[in-house]
Amino acid sequence: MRVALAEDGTLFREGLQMLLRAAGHEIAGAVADGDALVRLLDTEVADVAILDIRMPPEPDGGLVTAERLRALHPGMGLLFLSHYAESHYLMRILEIGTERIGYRLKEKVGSVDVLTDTLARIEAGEIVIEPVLAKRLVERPRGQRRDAIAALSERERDVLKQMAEGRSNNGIAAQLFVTPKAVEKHIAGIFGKLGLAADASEHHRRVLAVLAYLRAQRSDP
Amino acid sequence: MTRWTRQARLAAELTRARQRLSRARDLERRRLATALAGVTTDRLTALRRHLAAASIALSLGDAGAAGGELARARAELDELLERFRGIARGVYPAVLRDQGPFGALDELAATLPRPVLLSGGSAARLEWEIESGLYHPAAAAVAELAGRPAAEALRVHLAHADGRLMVRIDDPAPDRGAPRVRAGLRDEAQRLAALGGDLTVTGTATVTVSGWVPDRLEPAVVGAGDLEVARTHAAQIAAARRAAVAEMDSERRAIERDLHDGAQHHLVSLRLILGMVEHEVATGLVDAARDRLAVLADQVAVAEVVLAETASGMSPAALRHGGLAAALAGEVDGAGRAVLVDAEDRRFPAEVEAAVYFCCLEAVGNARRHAPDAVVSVRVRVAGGVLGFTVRDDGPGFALGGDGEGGDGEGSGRGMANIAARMAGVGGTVAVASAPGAGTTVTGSVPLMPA
Repeated sequence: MRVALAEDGTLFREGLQMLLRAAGHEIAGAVADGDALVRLLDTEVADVAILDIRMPPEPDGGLVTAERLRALHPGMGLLFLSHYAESHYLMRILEIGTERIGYRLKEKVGSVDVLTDTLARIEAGEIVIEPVLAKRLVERPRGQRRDAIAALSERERDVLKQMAEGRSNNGIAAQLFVTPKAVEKHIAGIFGKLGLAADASEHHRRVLAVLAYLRAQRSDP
Repeated sequence: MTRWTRQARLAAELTRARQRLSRARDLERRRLATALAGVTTDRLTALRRHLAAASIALSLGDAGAAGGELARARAELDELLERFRGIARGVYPAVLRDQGPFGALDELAATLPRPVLLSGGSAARLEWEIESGLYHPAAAAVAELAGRPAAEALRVHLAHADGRLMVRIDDPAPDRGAPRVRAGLRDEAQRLAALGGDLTVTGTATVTVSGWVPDRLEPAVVGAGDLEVARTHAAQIAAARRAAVAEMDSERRAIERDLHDGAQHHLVSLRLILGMVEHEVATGLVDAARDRLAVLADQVAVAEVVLAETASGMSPAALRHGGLAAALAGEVDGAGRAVLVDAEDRRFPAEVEAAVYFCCLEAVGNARRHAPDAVVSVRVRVAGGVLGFTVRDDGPGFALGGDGEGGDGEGSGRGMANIAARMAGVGGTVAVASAPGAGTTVTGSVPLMPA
């Protein structure tokens, strides 16, 4: 895969390039700020652009740069990296795009297998959400959502966590060592208990429905 | 009340408010330093131990054992990063600016071990100073009460009514009584009082913490008399409160930035090198892994120094704004000892400035410990694309050990090791010259890259 990267910290930028090469990826360029990344991608092609959220242009250069990149190169995947996994960043990221997009903690991509898995899923069109954040959304739901989540079986909660990470049905099946058919069944159960309308055809719509549900500020009657 | 007594009261109130806020700020820095040290020291020691064990396993050709040690090192580092993150985000949460105190408390609650039920809110966003003024004490109280796992949820209610932004925290299963909770939140109470608000802790079966700030910074003008004077007073108090919050706010922002760009960046980068070593071990590139493990050990040493630096509140505003010359002069002035600073008044890359600043202070500190009566001089010069510094004292000096480092006495060897690691981190070197009766000289140099 061919990736471009923008990160203002030298140590991390160098380290990530090293790891990307070790994972067998090609580097289209590595720059220190968002504007430089946009210029780079004027002439270079990349499958995925990796952006530090907090870099120039300040304060959240990664987010504003990603908006521009999504408009200029709609097919290019976007991977956001940050020291923080927070739901308010996630909401802003989902406003930029809901496909071929990912948000991960910087240290978590510090393993070749995680880095490779993340990039491959983004290239395949998925949303990739930091598991720490997905877990927090599922385990610490707001207000009366708590009761609905508590009504789920343990297996359903596992599936919900995987969905909140943005995994496809096949991905969930592989993670939990069950068949895709079993995953389908669990998802139907989850949507029933949470009172969500399941649009079975579109995986990423279901992911969004789950995220919106978990993030709702106040629970609706 | 006469004009004069009003003015005297105002002056006293302003002084009190400033003193309170300045105390709160000192305390916050100390708290942060303690928290950082508490989180990092043990884990870094464990990390180093696992890396050393991995290195031995590799030289014995036992890739399996090396892999195990590396995985344990990774777990330590991840845990360290997680805790570090908790501290850094608490200092200046981005979400507070974006979404106000409700959203920020919600985000905080999600990271605490005890469940927190949050209700209420404010219909509209308020002035930044008000929101920040209530949020930090409220967050401290919530973190204090929900910092340990418990089955029963802590209830937190935020409200904006009757000219106040208020928080009410009910703990239905308190693990300590109101007096102890009150003592723990004394500084938060001071901070709210400085903004014209208050914090109370009451109850027995359920402990309730109530805090509030006025929803505007000007105190309400009440009563008859000289209305114009009263209004002027109100405006002055508002200006003082605004300035105090703005000052604390910019300090918090600066600290968070230091953590984010400094220690946190170093630690996260360690994780990338570690990931690389693991990959090399897993794919049978043993020699490459061994070499990289040595690099990693050096980087751990640098990260450790950066952490120590951060925790001791170095890299101060003076360095960021005024550069080396100003920061060194300022630091040394305040100490009340004879230190002569002669530094070139130029700016260099931030990491170079920070490294040289730290090394100069460390060397001055060493000199003061070993030669308390000596005259110490600091000189910073650029020549031939190299930034050099010299810290010299005319004290008793000492005989250098065989390893060429000033290893005599408590802390000096450690200090030199820190200096050497810090200079190596920016591609520089350091040397010590000393002899009995001839004083001690520490010289360091960093090559400057062409811009």
